[in-house]
Amino acid sequence: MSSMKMKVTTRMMTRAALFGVLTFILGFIQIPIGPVPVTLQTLAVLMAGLLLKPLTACLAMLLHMLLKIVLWGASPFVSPSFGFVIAFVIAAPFLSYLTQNRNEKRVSMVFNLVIVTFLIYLIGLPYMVLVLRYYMKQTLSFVNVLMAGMVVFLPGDFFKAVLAWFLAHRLSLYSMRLE
Amino acid sequence: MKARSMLGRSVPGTSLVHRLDARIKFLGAIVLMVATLSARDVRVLGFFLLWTVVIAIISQIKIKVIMRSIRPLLFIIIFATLLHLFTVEGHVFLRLGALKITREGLISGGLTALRLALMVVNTSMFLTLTTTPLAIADALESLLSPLAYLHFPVHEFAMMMSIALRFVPTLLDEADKIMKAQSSRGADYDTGGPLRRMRGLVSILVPLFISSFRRADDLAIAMEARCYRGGTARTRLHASKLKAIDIVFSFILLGLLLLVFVVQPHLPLLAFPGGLAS
Repeated sequence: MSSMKMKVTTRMMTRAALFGVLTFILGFIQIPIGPVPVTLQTLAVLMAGLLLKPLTACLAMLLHMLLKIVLWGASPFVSPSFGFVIAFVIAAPFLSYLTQNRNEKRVSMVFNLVIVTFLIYLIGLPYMVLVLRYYMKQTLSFVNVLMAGMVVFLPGDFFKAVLAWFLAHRLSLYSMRLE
Repeated sequence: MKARSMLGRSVPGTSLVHRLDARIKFLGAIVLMVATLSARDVRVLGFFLLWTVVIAIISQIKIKVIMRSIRPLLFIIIFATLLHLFTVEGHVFLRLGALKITREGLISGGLTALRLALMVVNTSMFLTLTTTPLAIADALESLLSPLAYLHFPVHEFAMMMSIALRFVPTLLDEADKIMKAQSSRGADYDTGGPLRRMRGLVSILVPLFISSFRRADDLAIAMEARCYRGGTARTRLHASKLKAIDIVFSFILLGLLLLVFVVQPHLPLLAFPGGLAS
């Protein structure tokens, strides 16, 4: 964390808290897109990046992670998908930072969403490999990991990126990023 | 929404484990997680099994409730065990067509399942089953407080945690209500092509996000109207102090760590194969 005192206003606190909860809750809503069922969790991550300030988005995702630990104890740690939960903490503020200037061109918006989606995999997949290696005692091939951990989810990710963009437009009244 | 069971699972009680300081229990859960997952030797795992039974008796939690805590990991436990069963090479024990089960596979699969089950049961008995989520959040604030020297807003973060815990059921109800309301108006998010589904989801997500923003902003105004000014010089109603029993438990937990990381590597090897299954 930076060495200067971080100014956290009350409104930032409540917004981050509610967004953390939203991310947690949208993780329960499954949508049947692509070969495997996907949840709306990363949609909430993209929305946090598009609607909140970087610091607020980061706090919201940290809260989401701790919420899982506080409610479920240690079992999230050994689940192969916990790496993605860690990735959100970096991805959401990064998206927020990239899209801060509101007069964005469409091309750069698509570019930003793609970068952040891959950033989530860049952090989430190594964790998954580590956890699976602990269970299996044998190394997985790179292609297998990519297929099982990423390629099957890409149709859902595309769907969620489009949805997030559209929602951010509809909610632009709330996305002034005052906090 | 099946999420109801996903909320905190703490069981109220007055047992010794319930009364332990939440900070000690939080650190203890981490110690137990690391220790059980690094236990390789059968004897060490056997000791942890015994420890689990003792804690289960002390904590007075029903066996049914304890078993329920394994459920989120059940799939992973079965998956890992089957992988060991079929992939470990060694003395062939049983053939099922192209698949063969070896004695070594059976042993290491069983040990993996035991290790994971012990990890989940131990950490949930120590933390999530016997401690309320709010107590855990308070413990986190206390444990993270050194970070305040690095100017990390620890108090604010703990406050957010409390707010988040308070709003999980509220927003779950809200999401449920919105889904039902929009379904009754004809919204459809389970059938049709991606575009139709997206339209259905938008009809749920827009009100959900707007109501969350509104709740957050209302809450901020309400807090400030009551002169909330963040962490500067706030005191607690129930300040927690470590008791003798907490200190005793800290030493026991330290002993467990020593057992796994200092004693285990020096244990004499067992004669039968798989005695030191990895």
